[in-house]
Amino acid sequence: MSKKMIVLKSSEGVSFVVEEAVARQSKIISFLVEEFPDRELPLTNMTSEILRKTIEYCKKHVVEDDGGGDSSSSSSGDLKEWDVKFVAEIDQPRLMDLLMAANYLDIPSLLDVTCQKVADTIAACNDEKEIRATFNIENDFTEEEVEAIRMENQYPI
Amino acid sequence: MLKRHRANVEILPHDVVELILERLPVDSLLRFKSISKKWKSTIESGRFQEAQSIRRRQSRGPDVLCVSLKYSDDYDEEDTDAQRIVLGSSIVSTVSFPTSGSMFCHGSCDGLICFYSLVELRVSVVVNPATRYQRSFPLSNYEQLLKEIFYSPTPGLGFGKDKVKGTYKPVYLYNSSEFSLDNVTTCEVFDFSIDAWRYVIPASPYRIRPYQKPVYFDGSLYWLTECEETKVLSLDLHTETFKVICKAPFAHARKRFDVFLSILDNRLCVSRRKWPTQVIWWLDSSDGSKTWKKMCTLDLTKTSSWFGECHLLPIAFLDKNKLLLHGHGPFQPLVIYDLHNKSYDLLFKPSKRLGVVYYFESLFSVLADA
Repeated sequence: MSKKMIVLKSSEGVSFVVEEAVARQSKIISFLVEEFPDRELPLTNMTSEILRKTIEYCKKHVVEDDGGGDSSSSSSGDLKEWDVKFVAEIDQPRLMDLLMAANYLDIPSLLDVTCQKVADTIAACNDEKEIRATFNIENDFTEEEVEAIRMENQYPI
Repeated sequence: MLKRHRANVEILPHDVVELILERLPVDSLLRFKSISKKWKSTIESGRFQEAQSIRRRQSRGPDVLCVSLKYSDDYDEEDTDAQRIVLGSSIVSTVSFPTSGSMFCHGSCDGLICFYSLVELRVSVVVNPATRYQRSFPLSNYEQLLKEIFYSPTPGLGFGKDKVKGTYKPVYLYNSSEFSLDNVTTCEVFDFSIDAWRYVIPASPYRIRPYQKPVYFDGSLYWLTECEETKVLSLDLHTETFKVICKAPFAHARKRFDVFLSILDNRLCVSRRKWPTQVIWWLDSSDGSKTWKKMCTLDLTKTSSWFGECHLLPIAFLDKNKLLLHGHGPFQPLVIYDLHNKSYDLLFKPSKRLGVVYYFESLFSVLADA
């Protein structure tokens, strides 16, 4: 039996043919597939590179549903290991893009691993400037205000 | 991906930033208050603090804090026992605060730990070890009464949360006759918003076992009664009503130090020592009825070289099947019982008196929602 395929189109107009079960991990795509069956789905705010990464993640995480119950293609331990490697190989700007893709497409498990990876990266960072640069945040505090917050954190031990 | 205007638009929408911040340890969050005004107001908001707390509980097992207990505040000894031991996803560490007490409430509530001192008549204090927040509160009438008539089998302080209103409540419940008071028991609750103790009426209709500390679990405090047939008594911290929820899984336990309540793995547990074993049961309320199920049996002959024949206090499950045990008295060691291979291993032996509690770090303080 051939599996039902759908077409996703990136911002550059590149088409990706994906098994429906794979794409349906996105709650948004799941909804769109039902509303507009047999239509190409344009994802105008996603580059081909990020869309390819997202599909790669979804393929790995798809739960095979061909009569065999909920047998996933990988065991949960392997999958966790795979996730760690998957996000470790991505540089920071692309990780942010992938996180936004997970948020936009509503893929909870991908959103979880990407958020965790960003959190782990910044948790150890002592340089506020670096964190502001990572998130492109403007510092709207005066020197005195920053000093006051630091003092607040200095509880006697 | 999403059209990026590097110049002055933040890379991620703030709701997504919050999802990242929720996953950070508390010490990072305290530092990151100085990133921007928006980050600061998020980190200080009650809604975010709730999300962080839920995320922390989901992410890994409980941590365990071993706090130095102090009989007075005027000395500060060198922390010679400093320990930081990683067990699976949990961390067991020692910690000391400028103000603590000689006694501590069972476990923790929302990352807050509460100390009191029944004998030395010092104020009690709620501490958040992660933020170093602390808030003291005055003596209750119970503590004043103890000054007059010192009666030794004294039940300890309970500390928990009214989950509906989000307010924290220290609670004393004690048998009335020892102090020539009316009714069977007397109950006092501290209200942080008015900074005063008040009575809960009616209090428990049953006398409670002396020498016990109430345990907090899911919006209620629990005690064991002193009836012929030991019962589990609860106080709903929102409605402030007492209720007997079930019988204990054993007949009347005569000895004072033989039965204790505890919270393990997010379950209400009771343990009973009957030399040479100690059995721990947990209360299963999943199908509407309440049934006690046996969790494990400790062989006290194997731990007697450390604890003698004493009842052991189960503290927390670490790394799935390793149960952390502590003794009652001072300088008692911490021992790990492995439920799988039934082995007992010494974790460490402190040189001073420690209060040992399970704990999930948070940003909470007692007045956050008041």
